[in-house]
Amino acid sequence: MSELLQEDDPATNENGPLVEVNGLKTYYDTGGLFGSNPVKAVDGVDFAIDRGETLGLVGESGSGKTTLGRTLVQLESATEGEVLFDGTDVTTLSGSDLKNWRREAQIVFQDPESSLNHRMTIGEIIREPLDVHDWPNFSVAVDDPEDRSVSVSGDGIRADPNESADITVELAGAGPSIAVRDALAMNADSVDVSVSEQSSSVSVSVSVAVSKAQLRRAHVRDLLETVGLREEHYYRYPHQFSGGQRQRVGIARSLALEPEFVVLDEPVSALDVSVQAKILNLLEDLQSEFGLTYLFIAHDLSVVRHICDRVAVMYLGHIMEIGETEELFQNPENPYTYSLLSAIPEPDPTADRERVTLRGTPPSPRDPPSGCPFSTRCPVKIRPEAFRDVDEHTWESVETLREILRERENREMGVRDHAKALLGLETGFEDFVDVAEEVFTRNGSLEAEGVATEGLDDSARIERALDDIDPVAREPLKETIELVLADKESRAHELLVETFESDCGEQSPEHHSVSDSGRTSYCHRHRSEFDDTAVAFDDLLSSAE
Amino acid sequence: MATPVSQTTTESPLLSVKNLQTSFFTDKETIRAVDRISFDIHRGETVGIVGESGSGKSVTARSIMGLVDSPGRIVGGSVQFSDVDTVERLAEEYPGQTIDLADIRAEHDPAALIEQLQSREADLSRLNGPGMADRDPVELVREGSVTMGDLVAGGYTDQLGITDEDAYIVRDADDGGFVDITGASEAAYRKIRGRGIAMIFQDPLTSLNPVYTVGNQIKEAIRLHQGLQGDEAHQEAIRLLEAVSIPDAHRRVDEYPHEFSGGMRQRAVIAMALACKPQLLICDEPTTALDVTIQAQILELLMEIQEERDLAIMFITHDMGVIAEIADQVNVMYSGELVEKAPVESVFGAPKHPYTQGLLESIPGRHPDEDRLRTIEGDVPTPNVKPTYCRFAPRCPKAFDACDVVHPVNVDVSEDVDDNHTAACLLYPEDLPESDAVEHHRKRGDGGDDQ
Ligand code: SF4
Ligand code: SF4
Repeated sequence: MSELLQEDDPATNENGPLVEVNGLKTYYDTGGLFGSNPVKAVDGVDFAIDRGETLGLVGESGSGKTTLGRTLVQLESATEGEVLFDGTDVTTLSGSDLKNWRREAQIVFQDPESSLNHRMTIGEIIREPLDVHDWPNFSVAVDDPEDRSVSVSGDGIRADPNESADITVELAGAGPSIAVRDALAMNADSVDVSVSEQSSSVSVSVSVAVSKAQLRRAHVRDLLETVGLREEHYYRYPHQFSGGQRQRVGIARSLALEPEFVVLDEPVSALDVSVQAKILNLLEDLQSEFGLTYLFIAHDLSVVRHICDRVAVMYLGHIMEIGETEELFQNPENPYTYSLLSAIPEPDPTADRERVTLRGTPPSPRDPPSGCPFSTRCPVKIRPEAFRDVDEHTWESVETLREILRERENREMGVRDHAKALLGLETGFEDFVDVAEEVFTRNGSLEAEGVATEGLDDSARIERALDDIDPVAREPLKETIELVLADKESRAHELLVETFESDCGEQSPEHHSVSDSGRTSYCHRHRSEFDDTAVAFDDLLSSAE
Repeated sequence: MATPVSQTTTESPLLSVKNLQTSFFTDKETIRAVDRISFDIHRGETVGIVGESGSGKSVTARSIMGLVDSPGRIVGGSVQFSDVDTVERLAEEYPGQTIDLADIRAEHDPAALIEQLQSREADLSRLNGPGMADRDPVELVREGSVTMGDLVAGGYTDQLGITDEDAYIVRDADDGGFVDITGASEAAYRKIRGRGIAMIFQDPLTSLNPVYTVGNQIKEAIRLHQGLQGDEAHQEAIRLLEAVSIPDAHRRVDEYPHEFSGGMRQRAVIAMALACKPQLLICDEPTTALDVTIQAQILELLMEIQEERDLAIMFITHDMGVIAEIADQVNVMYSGELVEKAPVESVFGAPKHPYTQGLLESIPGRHPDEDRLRTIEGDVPTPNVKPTYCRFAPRCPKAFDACDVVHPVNVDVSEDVDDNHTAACLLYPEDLPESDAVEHHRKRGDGGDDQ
């Protein structure tokens, strides 16, 4: 391997983390719209993955989990921050250093269908990375009792001391003894070594009698067997395979270069449950056989719970919570984790839990909310002092109204709206009294509440609709609606934010340590002055009854 | 004159699928994608259909909707849709293809007709599964397994020269009658789709036209199915968008599908379906492409709408968690066949078919103390021959010799009398010794022509 990986003392590499991520950000600029904000797919994450560990990465679409996985294997370039692999920041690698490093970090994709080239045979598909990296490189380790400086020539190159060498030459006694690594399908007889020794140096010239092509074919056949396929599959095409078999091919290919770290990007999401179980078992077997370290990206939380040692929960580019799997599942500390877990349908019709259904969809990562990323949907968002005790309906109304104004403000004005505005036509705020009615009344409209609206003017309708709202909130809400009707919708939005905002929408939370095992959660609720998550949800659920 | 025997169940089903068989014909082989399945759906009920890829669950839905594409076609069985409004609308339009059951009952006795058919050695498997040849006709009629409607729907009255073979609309003053939608022409199907039966697909974009606003598409459905126009239609469209919890519907109604998120689009499609005022909603993996938090919203929405409108829902999914959450009844399909059918609690609490058992066992989390997941060996076979054996036998941990030579039929396996739990496996009925159980299947499974 390249020299830069030798800086670390090999002895310390045994324990510490294999991958360490610090302040990582990955932004995309590909909006297409001039001057638009970048997509903040990954927006500042820190974590580490220990050797041999499986870290799960869960989150909804748009959370940035796939981008994060792709950044770790350098399929995307980081905008900021570092990814230390064995102590080396791989975001700075380029050229042959990057190519060499790529052997160590591989990725398996979700869709075995589209990730395999349909014109290649299975054998060729698995073999391709071997050809690209000119595997094997016949790295030679020379074991010299006198510790002289060694040079290697001929077919071989000098081995990186951190890596297991393909060929080991031991200089002792009568002649050199030669050993070949198991992964190569040849024995020592095929290797011819000539050694010339000087007092302070040794040069070793190696010649190998077996062709690399032959070794690669044999290696591919081994891999087929390793992943549970058969040798005769070598000459078949992907379309002749089932989804599960194709995923085995994808896995075999990712293992071809004997990586240490594999990113599994939704590897079983496209598979039926009975097939999924087999692939998960295989992945676990491979991990223990080859000492692999996994980053397992998935949206299926039951799969993650089964296979991962630790889990990181992502939302809008941030890690909301990270910690040991069982602990996190049993006792989620972050409101987002809590909500996500609550949304999973349990395969047990008798389970009757209380569900929190999140409102709306995640905001665009191009325009994330200020403060906590979850603040636009958080069911237990901290309320400002003055409104702490208003009823659920009032608080919901405030949040819904904010969401509507935020949406309308962010919405790029389409051609239609421009045309309408130019012609002096209404652009959608004219019916805001209806919206106000819908938001404030408990039943969705005054009509549904049996109120005769005939003869009521706008302000009377608004007054009437506000009857369902807690008195302390009526005044600012009324003022907001009036501002909208006066065509001052940004001022209206501001007023709403000023009045009803708390730390959640104003300050980024910190990552608080929430358990002895090192779990952390990104939420203001962990500050001592607030009720913690479980208490807040209990209150919410009991008030809904 | 014999009194006609009518169904004795509490309420007759809205949709009754009987021995439905849909095959795909290619040069190489005939794939029996749906192989003689039967089940009912009642109003207000959600019937889940689960199975892995290739089990035939989507083809079942498409068969009911008349959306099977060439080279596939329905080759046997019937799908009786008992919505009075649909029956009347079609009867008016196609009087020549309408049969009035009252006329037939006045002249014929169902038991006598069965007897006649038996003496002609007619194939009776389309009636209520195989094994009818030597059942007592009077008994069959009394227990309600064969009605005059079935005789008509199965084409037996044509065979006996009593009715016209093109007729598929059956009026019945007693219980509204039904339309055997497998007999409908494309033009007639268009009258059934939407207003009778609506369907929601996995990808909402298949149902939305990108060049029209969401509102216009909903208004079009409202115009067609409710006859409302102009501002009335506009207000109704907004009301429907609100009904499916789309915030700011007043604004959204003028937006295009691409301006909606995935979850919002699926809501819009549901609103469009509701605009047609359907009696039955078929949902084919409607939440599979959505995130869990959005899936939870959509499931909640469907349950609310169902309650409000007493809607019947057929819900297809491969996700056992979703089924547990939404279904009242569950049908498990394997390789084109319906292998187990039961109320949701029984399927999860006491699964009987080894395939259902295996499927549930392989879900992560069923055995938290075990490191390895349990699996089912092998793959789902393509149903390309008529089964004279159990299609699950090559993978079944409980298979025994007979499984290779006897085709199991659905038998009652209820633990509770009201369960209506059936499974197609030679291990049942459990109270019979193995050889007798096998004999039971052999007897009921023989005969039955192949189409
Ligand atoms: S910081 Fe506030 S909005 Fe964010 S998760 Fe915590 S309580 Fe919810
Ligand atoms: S019939 Fe035999 S092979 Fe089929 S499910 Fe039952 S035991 Fe298994």
